[in-house]
Amino acid sequence: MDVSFELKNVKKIKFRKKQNAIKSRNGIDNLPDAILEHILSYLSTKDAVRTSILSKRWQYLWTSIPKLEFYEEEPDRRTMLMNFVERALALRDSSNIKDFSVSCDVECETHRINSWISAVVKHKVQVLYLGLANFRESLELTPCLFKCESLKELTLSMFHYLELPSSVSFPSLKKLILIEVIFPDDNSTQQLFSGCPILEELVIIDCIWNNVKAVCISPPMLRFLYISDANENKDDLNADADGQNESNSCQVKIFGNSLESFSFSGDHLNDFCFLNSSSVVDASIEVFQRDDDDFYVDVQDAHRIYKLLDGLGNVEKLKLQVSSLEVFNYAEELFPLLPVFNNLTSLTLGSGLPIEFSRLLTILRNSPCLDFLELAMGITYHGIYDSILDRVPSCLMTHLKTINIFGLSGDEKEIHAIKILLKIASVLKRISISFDAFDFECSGDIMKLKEISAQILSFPKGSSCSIFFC
Amino acid sequence: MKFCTVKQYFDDENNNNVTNGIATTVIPLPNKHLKIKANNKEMEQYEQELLRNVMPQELTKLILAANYLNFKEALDFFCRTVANAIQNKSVDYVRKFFGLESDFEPGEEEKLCKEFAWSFEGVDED
Repeated sequence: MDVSFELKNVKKIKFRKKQNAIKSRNGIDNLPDAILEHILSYLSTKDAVRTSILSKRWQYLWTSIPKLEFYEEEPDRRTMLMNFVERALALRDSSNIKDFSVSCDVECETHRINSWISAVVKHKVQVLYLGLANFRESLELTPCLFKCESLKELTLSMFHYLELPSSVSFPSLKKLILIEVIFPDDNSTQQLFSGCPILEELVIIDCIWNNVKAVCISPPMLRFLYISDANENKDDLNADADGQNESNSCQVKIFGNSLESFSFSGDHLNDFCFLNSSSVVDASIEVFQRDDDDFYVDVQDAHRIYKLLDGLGNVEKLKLQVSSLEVFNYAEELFPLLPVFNNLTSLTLGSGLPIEFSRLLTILRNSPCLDFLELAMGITYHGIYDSILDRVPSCLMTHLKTINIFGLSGDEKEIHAIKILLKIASVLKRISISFDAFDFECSGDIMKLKEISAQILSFPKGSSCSIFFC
Repeated sequence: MKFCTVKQYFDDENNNNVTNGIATTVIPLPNKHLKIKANNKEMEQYEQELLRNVMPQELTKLILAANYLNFKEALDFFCRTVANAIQNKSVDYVRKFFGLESDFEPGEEEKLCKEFAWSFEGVDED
């Protein structure tokens, strides 16, 4: 044998070995498993699972990542997704799944969904998101979900009846989000809300309350309650029912012992009733225009808004946007019963029509500490011109520093209201005025806009405020 | 405690994990991190810069350094950078990026692809 040949080969092999050694010493493979898993935890589930093909070392690293998310919109890929979820769950090691999200069409595969839920509950899931659509058979969620001790955050998004077991217990649940869910009846719905003893945040978006007459929301640590009610599908459900028009005659009693923030947004106002809501500091009530302008329902809404406001006497920030109805005119007899908002510093008012000046003054009289006022739909004046003002609201003389007025159309009454406001607001620092641009462009009157602005600037001011036009 | 470990590290001559060059990148990080913590955009730019100037192998060293120094924010940041670099990329790309070679038997890879079919959809072109 040629010794020199052998030596050369040995050298070559040694050299290559050294090169590989250097490569692997510097390469990612040098990192310990825990760090590689940490890197994988920043990837989407799809990307993380793909690393299983990199090499044998990587084949099962992904099976212990704490977060699994599966989103699929394409109906053709649904089966592929479902198979994938099952493989991912089957290959899972015994480590806990912290976060599990799935969003897909269900069709007839309700048993598969339930098997996944059972699996993640066994793996002590803490954050669960279920976005389910397109049901071809009815879904009854597995009862073990409603006894899950590890669950901290649950989001259920499905336009489907929410069948509940006889007892609901979420001892660790802090945040519950329900989207488009159809509440089945009084009892079950009550079970659900009562089964969350440490709940802090409750969000109910576009759910159907048709089958519920009365319910009580009373988790003792509830801080944040948000209800939105603009479900387009509910009108179809209404038609199916016995033709009642009272789709939101559900009475919702709220024990807000710890409640800090309340928000309602929708086109039908439930009959809310606060029992102890002295801790609420931030409230927002938005009632949109409905297609059917039913006078009776409008009056009902007005009464319900007053009832709500009655329980919100301690708020610091209030937003009241009520389109289509002149709340304060529909329920005239209630207006003097408006509570005094002793802590209110920020108020935003909006309505389908400009707020009338004397009404505004009454509200201001009831808000002695108001610092910020925003009028989203302008202002108007129905009184006798140049009438003497008695009882100027105290906040105008002591606290009100900022006023924003939007949506002006430039008519006389409006300008007159602004004139008086400028005169009597004696601590005002800044007033912003914004015209309804659409209005002026339509009538092609940019000149008029400039005239009005000049006119406003010329009014005598009771303060040293700056006037801004936007 | 961060700075105790740093001192200990410099005293430890047998440490192969981190060279001086790396130390100069990792150690100024706390200040930089604090400065740009609030500004996500800047953080993104810093990340892009890092990816451009630093080879994947160097990134590995940075990660090890951060891990050794018990510097959680840096560790998270570098791991996230690596993750962002391989996001939605094909397996071949990722192999090249990490300098890995497949040690699977022929056919094993195809089996895995089939098993996890859903995750192999919609990947970036190389």
